[in-house]
Amino acid sequence: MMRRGAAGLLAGLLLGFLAAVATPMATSRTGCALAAASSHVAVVAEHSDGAVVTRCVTFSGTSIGAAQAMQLASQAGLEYATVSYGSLGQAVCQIDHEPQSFPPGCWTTTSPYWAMFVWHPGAGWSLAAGGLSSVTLAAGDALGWHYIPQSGSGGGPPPSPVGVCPSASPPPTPTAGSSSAGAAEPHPSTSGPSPLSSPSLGVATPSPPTARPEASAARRAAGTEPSGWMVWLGATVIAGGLSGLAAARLIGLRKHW
Amino acid sequence: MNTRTLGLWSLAALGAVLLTNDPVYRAVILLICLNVALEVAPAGLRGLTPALALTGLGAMLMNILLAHSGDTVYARLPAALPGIGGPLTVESAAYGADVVLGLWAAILSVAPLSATDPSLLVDALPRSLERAGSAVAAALQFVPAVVHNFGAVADAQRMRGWRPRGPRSWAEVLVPVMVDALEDSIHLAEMLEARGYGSGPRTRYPAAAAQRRIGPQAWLGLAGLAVFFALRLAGGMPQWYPLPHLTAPPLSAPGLAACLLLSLPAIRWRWLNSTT
Repeated sequence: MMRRGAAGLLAGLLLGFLAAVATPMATSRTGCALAAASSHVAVVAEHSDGAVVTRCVTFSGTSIGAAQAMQLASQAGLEYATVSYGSLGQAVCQIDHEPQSFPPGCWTTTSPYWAMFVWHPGAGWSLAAGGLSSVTLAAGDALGWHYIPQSGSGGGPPPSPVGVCPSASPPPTPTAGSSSAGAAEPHPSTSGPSPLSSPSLGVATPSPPTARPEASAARRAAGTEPSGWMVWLGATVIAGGLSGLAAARLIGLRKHW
Repeated sequence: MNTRTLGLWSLAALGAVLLTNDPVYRAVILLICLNVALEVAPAGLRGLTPALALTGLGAMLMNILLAHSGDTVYARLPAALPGIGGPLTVESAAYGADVVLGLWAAILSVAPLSATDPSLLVDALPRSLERAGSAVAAALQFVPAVVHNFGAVADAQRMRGWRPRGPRSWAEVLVPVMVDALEDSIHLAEMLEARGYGSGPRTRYPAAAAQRRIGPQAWLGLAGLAVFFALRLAGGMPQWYPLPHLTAPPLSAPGLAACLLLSLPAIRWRWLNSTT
């Protein structure tokens, strides 16, 4: 017992030491990466009720994968969830807690889904040619999402990403290959495109209060709000009563069998 | 509870199970159907238990091994394994349990009908469906008859020195079985013709008319199904999924009330039996 306690204490001390050493290294690495990062990709997600969430993803290099862009956006507070389709890659099932829950296959034959769009400067929005795991975005492009029904109207692209990211940025340093670790800067979300002050690289602009955080919180709260305790009590009583009846019937039948 | 009432109640219970994927509602309906099955067809339920266990195990394993979504990982299979490789999550197991509940509830909702005489089932059908019901009943009777014939012919051939020696040798059994099946269908046609089948509306003894009255259990069950349907349309019965993380299923008082409407045959019957 004493030996186990001592081993646990030693492990805890070691972990604490490693965390203390690792944190400044990570910070400095991030700082170095941010200093070098100079390319931007905007992420725009439009909910079914029209509310829009935007993020500006900063990275170094000339291109970034859509999956990596979403990962960076999630670090800036844009929640999303995916399901793996094996060799076909990942499918996005939930963005910013919409829908509150989803089936293992991501959607059903009738449920809405997150349609993926890609923006190219001068060309506007177009439906993505591939999925999250296969699409690559160049600097200045935008990744768009819109939660739409499987049939009927309302399936257009999200609002324009103009203004989400700083328009004037130093030309990216030509590097071979894909981007390195970058950062995502949260932008205050609006109900439509509007010019915003551009934060400098590596600094996250504090978001002014908008309706978006409350809506997001409401979406989260709605998904986790429990049914009344009276209803649960009723369900328990009903289930218990039926189980007792079934047990009584089974005991009665056993005597005959 | 006459056959017609039982049939309508089974339909209502099956419809309710298919309209919701909430595990609490499904569990309650499962318990209701179990009680009714224990009351109506206990012997049939005994034979159904291995099938229920097998389907439940299969559905559970499929969801656990093939669905790798969810936040709570409790084990990992090597990614090299095709299809099943990857993280095993609590959420996938919960979804599998939900599927099993639905399967069992659906099977048990119609299990009592399996104990009913097929002629009573045909009697319970509305006039417009009597011919279709007769055809289905005849087709369903055909299968056990063929199985019985197969066994009898195989035994008879073995006594004559026949032994299975590959696919071609089975022709000595299959041909007589087919001939017997054709003879049985000709006999059935002769019997139907002798009873004036197709010459006019189906007649029945006056006593059987009482069997066609729809009891309150069926009406209440159908009312429960209507409540389920209305709740789904109005959005008061959202679908439950355990992804991305496990949450408590949403319950509502109207949904529970609809389950209660379905449960009356399970409760009232017992009370009736104990008082008569």
